[in-house]
Amino acid sequence: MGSNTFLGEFEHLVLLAVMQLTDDAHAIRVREQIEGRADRRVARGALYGTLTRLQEKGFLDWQVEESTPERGGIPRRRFTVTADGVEALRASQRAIANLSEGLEQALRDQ
Amino acid sequence: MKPHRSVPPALAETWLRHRLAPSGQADFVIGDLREEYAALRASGRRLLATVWYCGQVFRLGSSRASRPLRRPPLLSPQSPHSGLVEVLISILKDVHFGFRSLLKSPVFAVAALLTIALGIGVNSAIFSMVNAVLLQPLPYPDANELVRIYAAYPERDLRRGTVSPPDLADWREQNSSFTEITAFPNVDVGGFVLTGDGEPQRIAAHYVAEGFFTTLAAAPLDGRTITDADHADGENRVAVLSFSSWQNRFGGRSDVVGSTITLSDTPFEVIGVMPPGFEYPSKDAEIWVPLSIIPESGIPRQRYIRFLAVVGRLRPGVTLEAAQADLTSVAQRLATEYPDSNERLTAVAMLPLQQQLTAQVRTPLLALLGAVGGVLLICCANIANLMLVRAQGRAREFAVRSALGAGRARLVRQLITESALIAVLGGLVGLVIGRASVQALVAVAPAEVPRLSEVGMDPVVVVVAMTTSLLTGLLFGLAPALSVWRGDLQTGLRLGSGAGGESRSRNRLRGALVIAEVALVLVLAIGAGLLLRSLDELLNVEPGFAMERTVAMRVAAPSYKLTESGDTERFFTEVLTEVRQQPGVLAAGVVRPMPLTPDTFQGEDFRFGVAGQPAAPEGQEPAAALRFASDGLFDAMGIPLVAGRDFDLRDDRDAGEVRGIINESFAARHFDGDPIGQRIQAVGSSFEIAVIGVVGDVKQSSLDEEVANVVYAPHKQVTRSGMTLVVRTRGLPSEAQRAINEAIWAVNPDQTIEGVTTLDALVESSVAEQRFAARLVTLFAGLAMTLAAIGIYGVVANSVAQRNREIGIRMALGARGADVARWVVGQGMVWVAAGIAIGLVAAAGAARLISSLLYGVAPTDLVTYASGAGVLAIVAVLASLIPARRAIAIDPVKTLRAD
Repeated sequence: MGSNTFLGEFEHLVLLAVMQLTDDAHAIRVREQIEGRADRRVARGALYGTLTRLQEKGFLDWQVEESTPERGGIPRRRFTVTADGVEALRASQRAIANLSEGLEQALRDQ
Repeated sequence: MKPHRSVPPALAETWLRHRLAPSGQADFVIGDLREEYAALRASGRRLLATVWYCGQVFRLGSSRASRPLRRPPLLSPQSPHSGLVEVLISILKDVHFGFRSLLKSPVFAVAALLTIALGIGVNSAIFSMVNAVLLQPLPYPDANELVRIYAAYPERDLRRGTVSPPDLADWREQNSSFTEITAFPNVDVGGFVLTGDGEPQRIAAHYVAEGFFTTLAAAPLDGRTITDADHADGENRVAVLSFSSWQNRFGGRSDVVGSTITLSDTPFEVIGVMPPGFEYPSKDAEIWVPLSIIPESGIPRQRYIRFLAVVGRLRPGVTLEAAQADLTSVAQRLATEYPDSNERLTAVAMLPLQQQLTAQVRTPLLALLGAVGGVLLICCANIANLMLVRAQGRAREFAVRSALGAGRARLVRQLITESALIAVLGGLVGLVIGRASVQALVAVAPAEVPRLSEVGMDPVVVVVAMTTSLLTGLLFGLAPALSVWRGDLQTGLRLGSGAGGESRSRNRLRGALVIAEVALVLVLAIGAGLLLRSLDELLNVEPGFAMERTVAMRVAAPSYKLTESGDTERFFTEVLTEVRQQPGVLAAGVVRPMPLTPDTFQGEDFRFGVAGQPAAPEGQEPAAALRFASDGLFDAMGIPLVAGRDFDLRDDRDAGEVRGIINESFAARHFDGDPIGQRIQAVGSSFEIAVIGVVGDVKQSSLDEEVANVVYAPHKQVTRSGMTLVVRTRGLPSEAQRAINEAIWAVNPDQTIEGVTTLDALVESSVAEQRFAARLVTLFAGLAMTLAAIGIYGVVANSVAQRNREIGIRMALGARGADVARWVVGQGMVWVAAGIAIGLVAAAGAARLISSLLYGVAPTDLVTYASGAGVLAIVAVLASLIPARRAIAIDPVKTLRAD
């Protein structure tokens, strides 16, 4: 896996959020991160679906952590972006940067 | 933050776990949800948290976006759950799927839901009424043990007789069936005038015998009730207040118990207050006092003076029949022992108290229930049809699912779940509609309906409504389910969706639905028509008196002030003199009882013979109603004097004989020649009346009665204290009312004047019950007609859609638009005609059940039946014309090319 490296926009955001969160990259935090910083409403189903898909593509990995009292004994998982994932992010960012060349004026925040 | 014990809804969680099981991620997702749920719970909004949680679970378990989290449905592994959980999960799955498929066709969902909501709404409203009035036990402990007991005269076929105090005492002592027997006067013994604070007010009192409160097992809200000790010497002027009089007359004062109030110039001690809802023997009861305070001189306690209505409480386990036999043997003993007074009183009749109280409204209420039941069935038929159309549209879906291995049973279960879902949702909306309708219903119901204050949505109503709703769901879910069960699913696969190929059995089913709808609507329409016609007939009945510019009011002589013999006559004579002097007054008189009012039960009937005519065999003498009137009454009421003369000043106690004026019917029935001067003799007493005049017939108790023999006796000769003053005025009665009141107060400043009403309003309110029933049934019939029109439209429209191709071919072969329209309409009309035929027969049966509500129109009235059928046929034609127009617009080229 790892060769079909085109990232969807939402996948892109999820990967970035996971990277931003480093040690605290739990699903709930990831969702808050995207909603807070990217100003997007995130449907829970979409997030979990995307997390699963990214894991299947080999861009994400997760570790199982201790449970907390609120979770009633159910463990939680912390996500990390794999090397492939970082590579995919780079490719996407690069593509965007290439395509944006010369459009700085038009794309600049007003 | 303190740790929160917050387990989210277990069923939702189980379901989600099941949905997400294959991905192996269920635990993590559920853990995240729990965490957020706990945070939400910690903010204190429990309901919000639950709703939020369920919403999230639903979306996670079903949304397209979270599909990677779920297993592919066809490769389902062995479920880890077993038994009940498995069943629950599969039902939840069905419900979930049902939801989704309903959301996919919102028009269908809303139409079906509203239809069922409408049906359940009107039904729960009417059922609330039936439940509270007819079904719920009376608000007394073990109310089913309470019975009304009557003295019966078997040879005269009279079974609702009143009882005298000595007989009551013997019944009490000699029976072995009752724990207690009590009584109260069945006639208006007169209320009291309450003086003290502010203006004198008339207060409705009930005199009650020993054991009244204990028989009913009614406990006071405050203080105590009347005990046997209060009855001991006839001097205990104690009073128990009703809740409403405590509130309205005494401002709900907490110290009212123990205080002394003045009733008709006599001090009474208030000993207790009854709880709200205690309203026996009448709903306007305001105060209860011991019967024993009426002295012998007021009502002699003689065996032949029968004025008590009797209520008993059966011993546990004793049947009505056994009790009846028991008391009848007591009555027979008394008949032998006291032949002078009791010879003919050889039996006792009984009715459960509840039945006696509600007998009057039973038929109208059940008729209404039948009407809304019909509406509900029509709703069912409509929804069944909607479901059929839908099932047909889904033929391909079912075919695919069946090809992929879904069993018939599974598909049928799915269909039934869907209809149950609609039923439950519709039922809930229906309850909301019902709640609003109940309030409207109570507001427009005639005041005579007993127990109206108890009408409301209680748990029984809710349970019945939801059950009905579910049963309805099963009923209409069954039709399409059956057609799936029997149908050839593979055809669906071959033909694709909706391209004709309508199965014959489905078509038959749809025809049956139309037939059933039409038949039901026709029954309702004919019922409504009959009720409307009889209301019309009733309103056209001449009451026998003039209604214009005439006002009536109850004026009771203040007996507590009138001690001398003759005072009561003098009181009314003075009142009449004063009132007649008012400039706006044309004529005035007093009468008792006032025709067409509930007071008419105060009438006093007697059996008679005419002097000089051969006597009728004993026990078969004709009866006449004795009424009391003053001079000027006939003039005031516009009752024509046909022969002889009106009462005048000569007709008083010095006249030496009692003089009477009879009505025309009496004269025609019992006198060959001129009745004037003849004598009417009461059977079994020395009472004799000399006829001095004949007046026109007046309807007495209701407009639909057959006029009885009536004798008016002059009030100066046969005196009663409670009378109705009738005044004909020059202008509007309301303008003269003030002057009339002043004139009465000139005679007695404390005088209460009650129940002021114009005669047209009086006639109007005498038909209130009929009007209520007629209006509601008409409303329901209209509703049913509309629903049926929609139903017929739906069926025909669908059939046109199914036969697009056939119509296209016909038109290609030269059929003109008119031919096609005729053909389309004709299709539906065969069913409609069959429905009308069945409906006519059913209506004849149903009309017999409501014949007691009809007046002046036969239950098989041809005009009503014909116009009902005609209107329905026109509506049906109109309903199928719309799809017919669509059929004409079909372009044959396009339809045929589609193949």
